[in-house]
Amino acid sequence: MQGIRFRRRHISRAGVSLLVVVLLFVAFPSLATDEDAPEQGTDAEESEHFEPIVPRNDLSIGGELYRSECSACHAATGIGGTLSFRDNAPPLKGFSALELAAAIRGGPGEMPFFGPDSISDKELEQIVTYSLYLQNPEDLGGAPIGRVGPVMEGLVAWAVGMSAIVLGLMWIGDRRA
Amino acid sequence: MIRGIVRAFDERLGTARMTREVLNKVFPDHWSFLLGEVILYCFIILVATGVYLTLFFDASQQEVLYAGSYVPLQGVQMSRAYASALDITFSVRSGLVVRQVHHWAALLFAASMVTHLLRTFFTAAFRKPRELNWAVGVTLLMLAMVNGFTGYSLVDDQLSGTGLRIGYSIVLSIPFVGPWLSSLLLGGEFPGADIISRLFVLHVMIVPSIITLLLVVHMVILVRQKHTQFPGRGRREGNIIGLRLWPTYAMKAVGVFFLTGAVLALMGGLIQINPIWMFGPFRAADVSSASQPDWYVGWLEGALRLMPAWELRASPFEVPNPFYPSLVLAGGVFLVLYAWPWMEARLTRDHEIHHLLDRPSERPVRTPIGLAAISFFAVLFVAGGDDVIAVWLDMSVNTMVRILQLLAIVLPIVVFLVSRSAIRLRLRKQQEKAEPFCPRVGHSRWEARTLAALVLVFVWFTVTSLSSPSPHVLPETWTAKANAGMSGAQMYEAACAQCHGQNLEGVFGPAIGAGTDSEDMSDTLIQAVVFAGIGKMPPMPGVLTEIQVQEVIAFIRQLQGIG
Amino acid sequence: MPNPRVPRVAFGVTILSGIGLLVVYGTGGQPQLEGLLWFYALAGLGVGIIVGANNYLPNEESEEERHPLASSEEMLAAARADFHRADGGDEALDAERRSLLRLLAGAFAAIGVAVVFPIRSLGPHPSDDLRETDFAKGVRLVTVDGAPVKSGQLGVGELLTVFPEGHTRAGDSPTLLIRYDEEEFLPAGGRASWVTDGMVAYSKICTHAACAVGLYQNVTGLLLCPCHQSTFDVNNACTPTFGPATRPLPQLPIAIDSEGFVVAQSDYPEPVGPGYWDRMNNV
Repeated sequence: MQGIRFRRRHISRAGVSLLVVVLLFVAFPSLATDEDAPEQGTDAEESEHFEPIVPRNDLSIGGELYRSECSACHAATGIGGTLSFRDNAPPLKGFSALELAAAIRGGPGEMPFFGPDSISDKELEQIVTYSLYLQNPEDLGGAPIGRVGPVMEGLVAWAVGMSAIVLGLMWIGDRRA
Repeated sequence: MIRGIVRAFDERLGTARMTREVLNKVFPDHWSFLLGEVILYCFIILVATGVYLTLFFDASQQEVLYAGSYVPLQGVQMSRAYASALDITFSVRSGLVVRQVHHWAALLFAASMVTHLLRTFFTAAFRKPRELNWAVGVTLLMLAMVNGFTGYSLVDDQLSGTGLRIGYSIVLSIPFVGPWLSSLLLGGEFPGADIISRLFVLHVMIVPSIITLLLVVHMVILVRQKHTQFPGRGRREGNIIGLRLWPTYAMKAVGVFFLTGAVLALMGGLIQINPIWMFGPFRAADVSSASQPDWYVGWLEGALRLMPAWELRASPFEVPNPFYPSLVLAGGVFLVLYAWPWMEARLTRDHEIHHLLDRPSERPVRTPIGLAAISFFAVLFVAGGDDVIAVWLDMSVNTMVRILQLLAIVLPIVVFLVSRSAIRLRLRKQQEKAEPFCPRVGHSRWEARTLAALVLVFVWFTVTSLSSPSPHVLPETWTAKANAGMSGAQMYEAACAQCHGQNLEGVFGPAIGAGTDSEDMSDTLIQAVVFAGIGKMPPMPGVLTEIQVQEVIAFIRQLQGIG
Repeated sequence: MPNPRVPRVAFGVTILSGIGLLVVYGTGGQPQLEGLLWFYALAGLGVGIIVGANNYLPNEESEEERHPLASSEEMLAAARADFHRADGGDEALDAERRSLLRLLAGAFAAIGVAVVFPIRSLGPHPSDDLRETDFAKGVRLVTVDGAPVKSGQLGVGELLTVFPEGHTRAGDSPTLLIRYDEEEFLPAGGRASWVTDGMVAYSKICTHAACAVGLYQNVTGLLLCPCHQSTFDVNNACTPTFGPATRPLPQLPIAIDSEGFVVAQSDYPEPVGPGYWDRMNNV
């Protein structure tokens, strides 16, 4: 008798906790996507007939121009880069909007310039706006480790990840050889 | 009840005996033997996170206009693949952290493989009867590289497109079949209509299946042949001393799994990897400086950079330059790796069976060769990031390439010679002294301190990296009007001094101070020059408003007056 | 002796972190907190299990004998005999079997070849694609937005990335239109008529590994490929001066049409991009 009651109590306890979990799960707004996130995008081909849901804004136009005209030297993340023979394309950080605009129009040093026939005044403003954004961009993923890309990521993978794992293994396993 | 199930299985399959055999299996306890387990656990985590990502990723090259929540890309034309990768990042709850854990796990999957391979190499665990398992392991390393590259290329951002394009050039460079092979792989000329969906099949199905199969083979062979062990008290070729699998060793193995997962979770949450939203969609005409592959392909990238401008031509045929530092080099490296156990057995005339490991510090040939190889790959890896490193060191990238070309040849030789004489010296001293038995070192507290230091580093990372769940607000667009409030001097400093110098002395442009032509130019003329350009000075509209230009001119006049 | 505190605390941390994850997810998610909580959850499990195993489970070493893996000679002989069960005795029968086996091998080979054919469906014949771009006589050079380039639009030292009109997304068509410095520029032999209005057009696709050669240095007139540092001299027919590239960037002959827009005189006279086996057949 005791055994049966014991088991029943167990089952009911498990049932209650299961119910709680299910309720919590259902209570969440949605499992996968936030409500305001739209479905994918619109078809590019369709867009000839329909306006896109979200049009390009100054930042996204500036971003496209930045990536086609500037990123070859200053990198997509704006960290700058190397040129031949000990010349550098400087990082964007620290430059004021006016300095950026003047550099694009004027082309100091090795930098080519972009006149009003290639980049309109409006486009100039958009590129400068995106460059300002790149000085302090969204770092949703955590520490940006210099925004250098895979080289830095590889170094961190070894210096932080692999080292931590090896230390852990040395703690777990025998260290005498 | 459990007892009943066990009995039912045993009655049908006779499982008790097998179970006993497995539970009683002895594993020698040494931390470096756990490296192989880390590989397996990284793979498990890769599969788990990968399956989750697959549920949201859309491997299609169909062009869409991005309409997600990341403002700086809204309305931009891109492939569904990239758009869905952005959605995983910005819209799928937990999506970003899973993606980052997946990527870090891939980097550590390869890193733990290399570490495991080095352990096996330096302790000579590859010797008879384990040559086959060595070959299986080398194949796994190759597959890890392939799958890493395909995954890197799936996102379809500028970085993956650039990598893919270089990969395409390498396939194209294969003698005779290159053009055909690349056309068949991509479904046409680059970028090809089907490449993402084909890479997807390779990345999520074909290569992981082969990896799974080979991991099983690797472990079955391991169980059949039993683990190697270091020489020591009571340890002979004919026995194996260690912990029984059940329960202690199994629990430790489970612990290793969770600690591996913990490291990956921490990295995935706190250290940003591959911020795809910054690279933009792939455009054939664009490129970003500092475009590099993940580290396990980095050595090939480095070799491509260090290769002199040289290729074989016999009109009308040619074997282009990228073929040698990529396929020839990688082919050679893997060939040597595959052949090493047999090569060594042949050269040392040692065809005996070995279950006791070598100590790396006592091998005056093999260890130096391994170290030399490590230094060679290190040079290539550095070369793969030479543009980034040149900026860090404030050095000409051209000089850097020349130095690295030299180092790639010289450094391995130096490392070999130095480490060989060091080991020989040590051996001689050992013989002279007939070193007493090395005292046992107990578990000390140093690792606790190191772990505490690591935790501190991570806390620091957390504090500096916590990103607010951004509302993705569009910032105000900068216009020339925004300069309002700046003095003429400040505006001159920002807009003109880059070329004309702080004190009108001229840098890239001419001097415009006192006594120059500019002094005689009227204000109206200077204003016209600013907006329309003159000679090599480009027109600069949109930078300053008319009133602002007048303020700057007033400042220039002031300076000219002083001069 | 065993100290129960560490595993207890560790498992407690895991439980708390699990609850924390639930809360974080429920309130909208935050990547850093999620990563951190997952770390605490998993590290708690790992540390708890390992310390627990060290403290509460037997830790003494055991010994196991290794048995030779190789089989005895008798076993090998027996296996060999089993394998050759069908052999021996009747020579006529053996010959018959052998010829049958040969036929079987032929059958398998035929299937093997047949299996390979469908691979051909994966892609078209490559050579025409590699030779041609979308440029042709009279095709206008347009920017990425589709705007045609006018004569005199560029100032000295300015450059534009251009495409054949209507094909701004093609992989092999990106072209650099550069207004060169007349004092520095040396037109290559026989190509004096390929430039127009002080402008010269080169393929933007690197002849080494097909990256976009996007890095233009205005003063030195050098084009640098950011992928592998191949450097090309714009004022000297884009011959490579540094890095692994072996060939100059192909030049596109350009002219001005009646409406004053820049057009191509023809397609590129040689294949653009990286080398391949029979490239020179296509020159």
